[in-house]
Amino acid sequence: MDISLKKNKTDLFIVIIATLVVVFFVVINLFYSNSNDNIISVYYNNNVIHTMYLNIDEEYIMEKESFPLLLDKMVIEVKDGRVRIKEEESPKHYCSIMGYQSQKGTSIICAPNSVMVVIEGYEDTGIDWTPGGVANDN
Amino acid sequence: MNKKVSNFIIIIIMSFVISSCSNVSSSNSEYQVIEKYVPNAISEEGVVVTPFNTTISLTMFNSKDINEYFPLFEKEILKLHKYFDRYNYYIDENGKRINNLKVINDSYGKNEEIIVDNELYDLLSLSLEMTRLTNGYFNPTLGRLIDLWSDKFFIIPTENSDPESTLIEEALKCSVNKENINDVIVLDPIKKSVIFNKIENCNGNAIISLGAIAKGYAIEKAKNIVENVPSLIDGGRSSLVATGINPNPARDTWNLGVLTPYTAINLGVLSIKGELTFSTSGDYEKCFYITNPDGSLTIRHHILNPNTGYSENYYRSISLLSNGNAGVIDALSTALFNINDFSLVNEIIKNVEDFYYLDIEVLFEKEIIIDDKKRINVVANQKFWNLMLDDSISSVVNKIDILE
Amino acid sequence: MTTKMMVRYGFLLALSVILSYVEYLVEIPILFPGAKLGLANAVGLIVLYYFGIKYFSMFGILRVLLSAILWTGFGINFFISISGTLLATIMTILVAKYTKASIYGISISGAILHGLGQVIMVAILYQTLYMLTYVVFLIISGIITGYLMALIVASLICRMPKIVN
Repeated sequence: MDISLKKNKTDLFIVIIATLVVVFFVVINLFYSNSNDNIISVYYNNNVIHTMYLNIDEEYIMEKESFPLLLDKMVIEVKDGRVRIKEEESPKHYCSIMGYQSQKGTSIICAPNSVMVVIEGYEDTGIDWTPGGVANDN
Repeated sequence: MNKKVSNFIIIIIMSFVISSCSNVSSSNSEYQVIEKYVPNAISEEGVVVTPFNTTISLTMFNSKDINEYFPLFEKEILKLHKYFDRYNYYIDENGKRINNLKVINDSYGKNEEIIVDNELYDLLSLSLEMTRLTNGYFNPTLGRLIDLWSDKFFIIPTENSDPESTLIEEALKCSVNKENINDVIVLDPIKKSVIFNKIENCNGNAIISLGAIAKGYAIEKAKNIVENVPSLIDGGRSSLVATGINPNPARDTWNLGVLTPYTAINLGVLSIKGELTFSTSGDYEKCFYITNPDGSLTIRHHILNPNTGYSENYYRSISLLSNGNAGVIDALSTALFNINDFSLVNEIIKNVEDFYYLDIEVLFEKEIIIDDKKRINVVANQKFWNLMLDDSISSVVNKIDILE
Repeated sequence: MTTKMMVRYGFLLALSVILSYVEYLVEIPILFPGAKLGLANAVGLIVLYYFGIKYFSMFGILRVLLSAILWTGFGINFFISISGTLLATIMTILVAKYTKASIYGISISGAILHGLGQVIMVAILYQTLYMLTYVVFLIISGIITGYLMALIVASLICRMPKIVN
């Protein structure tokens, strides 16, 4: 095979193309992360173990074998711009009862499984704090 | 040629490093809302325990602040959780078991002098004072009674039945009234020790439970860590301490939501500038319902009347606003939930205000039925009356009275 | 293929497998966790230079297969490795045959594609686009390790006695 051992213009060309691709991705990343209210952080035992995006449908499955603090298998679902805990084991399944969330700054907390699903970002709704305890009368 | 390619590579790396650096610096000067939760503790037996059985969090408004204060905040909260936990034992850095509430409860009736850390001593002392000031409606010796009910409560109401009335009677005999409490829980201010004496007529064990005051006390202590740095300290999403001035570019007041028991209908927004303490209790936080013989439903909730052993349904919720002392406010909101007589309510609030040099405002939500529909009567102090009322409340609020 | 060539090919294959194992053991985090130096690929370049495209084409795959039989097993990592190696091999052949790139350019393109191939396989297997930001790091480390490997190979070849195909 006739391969030259001396560096030449084509090599440079290849590097330039690769660099352009890198620049392209960096630019895309910047645009993408400006809307960082799309980021969903999944916390397990207070560490972020997975990142999801509100605008990318995904089902994230956590098995008890990999995550021993879980009571049982847990499934977190992002669909149509909303996130919810789809499947989980907890007293009366109160983590999945919360249902779909889509507002930035909201968290779904599943204490019995040491899991928190936080929609990062901040949306000024004019309110800094509301009490928890789901008001449930109709 | 060699040099050119290497230079190129260096430029690529540098541009990447620089672009990631600029991301970091821009976020420091921006207004961000960053909330961090206190992680779980590990008991002596290696069991994972949630602090105060709920979520405790610190919210700050830029990454520099939260990174600086959260580690200290976390350390303090976990320390206090271990002292006040009546379900688990914990060991300290030297491997020695900490004399916490569980150890004190173990010593019931044994005439043992348990030496405790300052904060636990402090909290017990505060609890005795609050028992006196609230005419016994706040009572830290209800542990046995609480245990009869606690398994039935849940954040989504389900149907259940009351505990056996004989069990309730026995449990009540094992809780003290305000006259005897200083003889049952004997505190020595010099040795910082506690003796948990036998209660007359009590069969079995009596149990001290500080659940109605511990959370508030803890977030109050945490306030000392953050001082004037703007922050929100949240205890179980029912108690709140706000410090400093809100750095939100749109407004400088803290806006707190006040709920009604009805889904998606808020009473309004309380708008306060500067440091504040806020606490809210509702019968819908932890409850179940029983079906009465006539088919109607009655809510049973977690705030028990120390006189009857059952919860009362005078109010759907109580919100308290004050300029400090979240522990006192926590205990007060528990006590007021079981008092229907407003002159007694006013008397107790005044006693507490005078004793602790506080300004306290209160808002009660009572439910009435008008034409088969549920409506809310609001009774509140002037400051609360100024809250920005939600448009949607007109459908559920019947009237708003000022509390004199 | 003469016996002599077969033996040499075999040696080079074995060498490549061993280098791959050494990299796995030592795991020097060059630039980014997961990005490897690619010593095994350097051997591949030598094969390309002396044996030509046909023999090179099977070299990478054979190396991954041998490694799998010997120590990695045929699990998830195997599929990821195969994917990376396959794409790298294809790219290397295309660049070598249809462009005027020297060994440096060939090595760099191969290195970049190796990483990309792995990321693509991960994206398929785990159904996640999370790895996209990884791509940038992989391309940069590909450029650097590709260059370094080519440098090593070039200096090696200069010093090796003339080998007749």
